[in-house]
Amino acid sequence: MDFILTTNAITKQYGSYKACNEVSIHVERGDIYGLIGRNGAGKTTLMKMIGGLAHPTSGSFEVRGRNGETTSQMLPKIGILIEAPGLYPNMTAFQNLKTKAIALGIKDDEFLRGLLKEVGLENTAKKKAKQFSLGMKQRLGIAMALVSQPELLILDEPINGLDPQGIAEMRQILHHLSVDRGITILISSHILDELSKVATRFGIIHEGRLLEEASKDELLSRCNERLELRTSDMSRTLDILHTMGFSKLEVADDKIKIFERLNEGGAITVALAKENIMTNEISRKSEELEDYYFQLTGGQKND
Amino acid sequence: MSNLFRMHIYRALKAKSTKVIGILLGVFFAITLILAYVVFENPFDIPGDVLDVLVGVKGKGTVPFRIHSFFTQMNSPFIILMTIFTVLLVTSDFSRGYVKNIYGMFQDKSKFVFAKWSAMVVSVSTIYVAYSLLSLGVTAICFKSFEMECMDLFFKSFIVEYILLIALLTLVFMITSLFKSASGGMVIGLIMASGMMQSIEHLLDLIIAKITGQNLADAAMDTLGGTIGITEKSGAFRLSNYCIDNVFLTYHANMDYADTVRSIIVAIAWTAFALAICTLLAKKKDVRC
Repeated sequence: MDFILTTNAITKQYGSYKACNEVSIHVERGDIYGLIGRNGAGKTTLMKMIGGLAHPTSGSFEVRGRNGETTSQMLPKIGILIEAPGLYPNMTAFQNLKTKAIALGIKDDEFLRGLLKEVGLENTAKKKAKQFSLGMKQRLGIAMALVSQPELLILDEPINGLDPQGIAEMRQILHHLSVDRGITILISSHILDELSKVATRFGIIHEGRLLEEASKDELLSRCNERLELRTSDMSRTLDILHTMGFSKLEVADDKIKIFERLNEGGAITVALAKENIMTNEISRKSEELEDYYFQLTGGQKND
Repeated sequence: MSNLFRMHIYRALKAKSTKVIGILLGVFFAITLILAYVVFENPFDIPGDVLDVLVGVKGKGTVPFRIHSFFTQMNSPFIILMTIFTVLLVTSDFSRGYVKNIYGMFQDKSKFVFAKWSAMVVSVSTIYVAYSLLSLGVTAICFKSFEMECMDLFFKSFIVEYILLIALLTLVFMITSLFKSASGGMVIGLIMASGMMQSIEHLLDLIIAKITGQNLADAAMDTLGGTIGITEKSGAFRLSNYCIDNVFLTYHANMDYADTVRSIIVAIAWTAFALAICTLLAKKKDVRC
């Protein structure tokens, strides 16, 4: 596997409190890796260590197989947006980018204008950052993280506080960066439903420890993803399903729940129609990621 | 490091606070010019001894070294504005969280200290030279009593005051880096730059003199005499002679060779100490943002 980032039992301790406790994550090149966890779970601390803003108490991290902290050329490969974007409020979007570009020795102003266009801020002209909406600030924060042309982008709660339109815009930007530019993204969010729409791999972190690391498919299967079927003749339907080779079945609430071969809904309805059984309802369902998360961390959902 | 230095200069040039400080410097320059007119042109016939105290540097005539000292040293707004500039330069990236964007990019964190310090030194040096030359130029044109004399004292004053100014501001730089907050750095920086700390240092001098059985009259003259331009000293150890704020505020071009050398050594020692502490702080590696 081509891992762009791995952490090896990375730990950050403040006094006797371990904010991050022997966390080992594995981020493959091209992943959008969603880091899930409550406030204080250790997500930001982990991201700060990878972004070079905090020094691990023990453990290490590797970027492209080389020690991320001690190999100097690895740090610019990482772009970070931790918590709120750090911007000079009295500067324009371009000036904020220019400031970072100067620090990195980048002289190409057109490149910076291109970054603004990429995040949809090309028409902000002389508008100062303090006059930006939260969504605009977050997008400028992403553009700031892209100045060093990173291979890995670390985004801590980038959709926090955004309105639905802002969230949709952010989703588009993440999709563009991942698909069109091939940037690997490590992203954390409290909005699990939203995270599940963009992430391809997940790490669940709780009280400083990594509880689980799984691909999207693995996680969805653990969320009991299934086909739910309601027909005019449930007992004959069960017989037909057995004949078709389905074994992971469950009957509850006048429904048949099928936990395997979820893409064969069409074939099932055709087979039932041949036997003159009417399909009243067939749908693909799953537990919400949030439910699974609470089940895993022992917490409760606040409805 | 040169890129980080250029970044700080770019940011400082774009900052609103720099423009405000520039305007305030202009306003205080005009006020100081009016005061200088009253003192040097003496339209109100103030007695000579009183004028000496007002100028702060003994000597006769409206000559460059007295003008220079009057504008940059005796007149506290200059050093106070430079202190505010230094505090804002140090805290600008921390207070806005901008440091998050760049801190992780560089392995050698001491680069941040030296780049920012260099930006402070270059900015202050530019302002210092411009302010001095402007004060000389304007007084040379506007004051009838102006004489281009005692240039050796002017150059001595110009250089030593500059070294002391940089040392004092480097200490402010260190204190602000330690607190990582504008308010903490500003309060302590202004206490030092405005001369409030001098009172404590002078009191300590007197207490030490009392404990060690020295002549208190000599001690009082040594410590307080400098503030009113008296150059005679007893030669005994005085703590305030080694405190950079006091050394800066009491320095004058008429000082003898030994005192001038002491002032320069004190300035260099404080500068080196403050930079060493800043470098140690940078090695902490965790950035607060």
